[in-house]
Amino acid sequence: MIVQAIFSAQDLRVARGMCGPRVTLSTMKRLILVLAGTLLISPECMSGEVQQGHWAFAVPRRPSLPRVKDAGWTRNAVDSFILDRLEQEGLQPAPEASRQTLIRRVTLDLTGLPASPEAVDAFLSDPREDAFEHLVSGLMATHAYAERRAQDWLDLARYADSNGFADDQKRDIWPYREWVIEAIRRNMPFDEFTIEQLAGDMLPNATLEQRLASSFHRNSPQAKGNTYPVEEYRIKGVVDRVNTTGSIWLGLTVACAQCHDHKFDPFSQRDYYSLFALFNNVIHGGEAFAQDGPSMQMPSHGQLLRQAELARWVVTCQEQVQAREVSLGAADAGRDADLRQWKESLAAALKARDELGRSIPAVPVMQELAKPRETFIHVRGNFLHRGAQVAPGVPAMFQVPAGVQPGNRLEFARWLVNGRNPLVARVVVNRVWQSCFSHGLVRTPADFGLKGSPPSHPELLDWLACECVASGWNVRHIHRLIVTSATYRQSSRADPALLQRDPLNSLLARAPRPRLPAEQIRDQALAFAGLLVMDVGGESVFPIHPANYWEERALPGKWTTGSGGDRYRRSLYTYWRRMALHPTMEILDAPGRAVCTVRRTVSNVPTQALVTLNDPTFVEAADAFGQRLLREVPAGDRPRLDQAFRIALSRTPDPDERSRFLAFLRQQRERTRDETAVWRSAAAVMLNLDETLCRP
Amino acid sequence: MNRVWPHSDSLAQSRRTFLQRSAAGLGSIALGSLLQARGAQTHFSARARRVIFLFMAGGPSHVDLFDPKPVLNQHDGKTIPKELLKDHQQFALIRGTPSLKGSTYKFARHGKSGIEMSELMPHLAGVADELTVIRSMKTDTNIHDPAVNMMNCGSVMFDHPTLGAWASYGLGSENENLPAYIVLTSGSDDGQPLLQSFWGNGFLDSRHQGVPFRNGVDPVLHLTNPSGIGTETRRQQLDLVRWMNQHQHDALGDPEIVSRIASYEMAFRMQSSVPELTDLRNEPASILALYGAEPGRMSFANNCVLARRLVEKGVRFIQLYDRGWDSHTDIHREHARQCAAADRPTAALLTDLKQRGLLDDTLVIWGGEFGRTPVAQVSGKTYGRDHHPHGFTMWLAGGGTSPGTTYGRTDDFGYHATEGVVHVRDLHATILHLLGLDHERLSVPVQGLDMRLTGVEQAHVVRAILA
Repeated sequence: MIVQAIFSAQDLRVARGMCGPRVTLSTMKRLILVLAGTLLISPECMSGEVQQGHWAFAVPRRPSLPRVKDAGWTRNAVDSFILDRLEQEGLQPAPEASRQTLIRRVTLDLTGLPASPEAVDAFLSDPREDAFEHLVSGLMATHAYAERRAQDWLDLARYADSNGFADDQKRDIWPYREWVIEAIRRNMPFDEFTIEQLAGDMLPNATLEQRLASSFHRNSPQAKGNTYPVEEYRIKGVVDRVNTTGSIWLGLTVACAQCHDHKFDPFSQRDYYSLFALFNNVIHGGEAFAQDGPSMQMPSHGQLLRQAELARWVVTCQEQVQAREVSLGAADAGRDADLRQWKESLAAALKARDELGRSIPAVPVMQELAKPRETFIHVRGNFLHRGAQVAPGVPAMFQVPAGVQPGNRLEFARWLVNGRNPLVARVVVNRVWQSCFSHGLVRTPADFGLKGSPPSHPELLDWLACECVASGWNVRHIHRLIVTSATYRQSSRADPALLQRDPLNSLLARAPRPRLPAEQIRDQALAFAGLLVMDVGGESVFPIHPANYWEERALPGKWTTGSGGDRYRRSLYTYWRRMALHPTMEILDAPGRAVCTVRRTVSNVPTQALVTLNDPTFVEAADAFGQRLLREVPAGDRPRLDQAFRIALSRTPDPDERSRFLAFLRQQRERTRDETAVWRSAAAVMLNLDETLCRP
Repeated sequence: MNRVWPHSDSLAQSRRTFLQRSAAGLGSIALGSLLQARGAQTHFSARARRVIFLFMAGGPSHVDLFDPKPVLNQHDGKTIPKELLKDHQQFALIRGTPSLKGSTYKFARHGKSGIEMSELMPHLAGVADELTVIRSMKTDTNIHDPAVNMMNCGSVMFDHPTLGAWASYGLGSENENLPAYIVLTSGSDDGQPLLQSFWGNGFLDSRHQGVPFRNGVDPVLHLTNPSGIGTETRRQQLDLVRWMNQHQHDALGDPEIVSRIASYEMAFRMQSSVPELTDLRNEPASILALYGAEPGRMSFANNCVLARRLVEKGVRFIQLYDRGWDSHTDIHREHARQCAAADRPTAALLTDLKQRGLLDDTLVIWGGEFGRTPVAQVSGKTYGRDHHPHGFTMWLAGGGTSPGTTYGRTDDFGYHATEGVVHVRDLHATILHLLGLDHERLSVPVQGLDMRLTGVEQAHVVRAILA
């Protein structure tokens, strides 16, 4: 009952919601401590000591490398921390994986594509001690690397080609995707990457590219239609921006503070609306289907040239018309053929100019109101119920004095990456880690707070965070450190004792063996088939899609399957409709991106098997893969099988596998003499092996 | 012992994994209840083992179907009283101050229970004694897609799991050849779009996502083998895939490979079991006539027959979306059309479930994302009704509900739920309760929070409607 006296009924309700009704005494005690902690570190009575209490809220200091017994195993700092823990646990790291495994693993991880047989041969015969490091450098220099990294970022950025909600119409925001790919290709430091995306529009003399980068926060869903109240749905956009920023940079689930103070982390509702105030000043207007924020014309290079050319031609035509009209006088002007022709040219030029103008994408971007909106706390999250007025700023837990509080988005973005924030660098390197090992060192990548999962290797996390900032926010450097470590190069073999001991593989005494993401499953099938078209960037494309898929769900619009190369582009360029994602992507666990996704779930269900067995994309890929084998290897089942394995798995079959496959070929020939059909069937098998579907 | 969709016994599975994983600390707090739940599968004994949710997408008009309002009829044409409009924003589409609109349909009491229904539902009237009618439903928004989310997920957001996903997560599947959660669609072309979030898994694992069955040759996407691949060839391919996967498992020991083998085998079985299941030609003519079903058509009636067949196969959660209830322009034409298509099969479904002894442990839910306004939305010579979240009707049948019950009231105008208000969250708590799940305990850890269907707000099991 003391508890009741101290906390409001709602506090308890929320707390009970977290714990369930059967709270034991010990739970209740803990709850009281946590709630007390929240009170202690509420803005009014913030104590530095309490703030330091939770590991993630203390600024990381670079730890010294632990001394390990088996120093010979380590390749870089990462390994010292991993091995140190393994030695403490009395465990051994797994042996290094074979070179065939390593090249398939690292090529898929870094580029999202399979290693070509030629690349495998070159790597296997590379005599250099640091052949793997050379391989990694080469892969990191490719466009494919930037595309693969962009794919993860687009999940975070909730990038999609449609507005969301019931209408879910097309939006032209693909130039932003191009911006992300190019920024990653140039290895833009993460601080710049942050500032340009959060506030590129506000930079002094912002370039076209910097304004484009600010599209990041225009990826929020936008309701359009007769029933959506404009202000309510504008606010949903702001809320999405605050929550997404919290997840991506602060690693905090701030969403609950929209309605009430965070129950576990020192994050108050006032803090929430201080952040809200930073994002609350974007121009927004229009009614019904026209409601929207600002946009920017984003012509391609070709369109710019054409625009200039047309402008010149319009002027020429106008001059000609004018000159003739003056010299001919009104009476003769009507009969002059030359004048008529110039007039026609002018009309055609104007029409062409308008058409060109319409074909130039109007990309949603951020743009501030001259006079900022006032922000009030929304009592219980209801914007109609105004509480106290709130000034823009950062959460009180960061102890930024009033005079130097970020007052707008740009100052806020700069504050995030000033290198002194305890969370940002940790959150960033944790995601890089997650991309290499399936899970981050912190397994809740968007919650580093009190209820988040504690880091498995806290010192390693801090070391990487410090290294990231010290390197000038060089994310590629961190990525390289991780993938060239001995930890990364371990075999993924899981012996039963180890599985029992460490089922989640938190200790990393082996490499994980995750199923590939949706995009990679399709892309590699196209690559095996020799169909993949590697053009970079551009508008979203419409590959093969089930007929009437949108129509039977009464969704507006029509999927018109593209022709030629557009059918075979990398999956990251497939038109991403939030409310009806391409089913091949959806079934293989790609998110609809209605909200920021920090980690995809990976399921293992029969509908996925039906995709890789029967989806026309995979049927076509199997067919072309089979034909490729017939074409590239003139004769002989054995060499063709070897080639099939080399293409799909970066290795050759062992004797058992070979004889089993040869038996399969014989079975097929009992029914058909058509070698194309025989090899198509074998190729389909290759596309469906667990080994093919997984990163080794 | 339940047989399962691979890995779909996830709560059980996560309990096991949790037990393996929780060395000490926080985990031990929950350990007791987890151990308990592990044996029972549910938090307490379940009354319903399966759910059929008949979702009348667009929002049926409660004052024209289940909630007769003589006072409203008397005040027909008068401006809506101001006090009704307190405390909420505007209508969805009506602008200005509209007039009250009574119902032109005749109501009568039906069955021993005397449940009131309008003439639009003559067949349903025949099974009135099976129903538990809730006249005091309330939801949070008057806009379609957020309201559908609310009805499905307890949140207007697009990233929360639906009821079916929670049921799959909490209870798994009883059939190793079918998904635990299947979605069937029908209805008018001018209805509201069906968004993938309507059967989404939200923050639950994607294996809990609903599988929408399509109308036509491929009820499940890519079910049919490509041309040139017969069953024998496919079997040979899968035998080789299986051998290779087993070989890989021998070398690497990854347990996920075993699941992959199971997934592929189930996919193969689905290729024959699903078309067999969805082919209504092998239903007796009397049954087809009962439902008004015609094999090969896309219709709500066919979906009702299919729902019963899925129930028989142990599918945990079946959601039917019937589109076209969004009657803004001509309520008479549009509601008559919807009722003509839905009334007979709905009644038939209840009759058929009952005669097979399935109604006892199958919960049937009927309703839309909201009701319709008791004021008119005038559209030239005709009128319709706008979206109405403040008070509307839903009904339940079977699965441990109290048959022949009418629960709750709206005010004299059918505007606000006034007595025994059942918020969507309360309905969710009740549905989970009937499934043997405690809405306060069925939770999943997400980025540091324990997320539940009913969220952090209060929710109550509506005990008065339980048998």
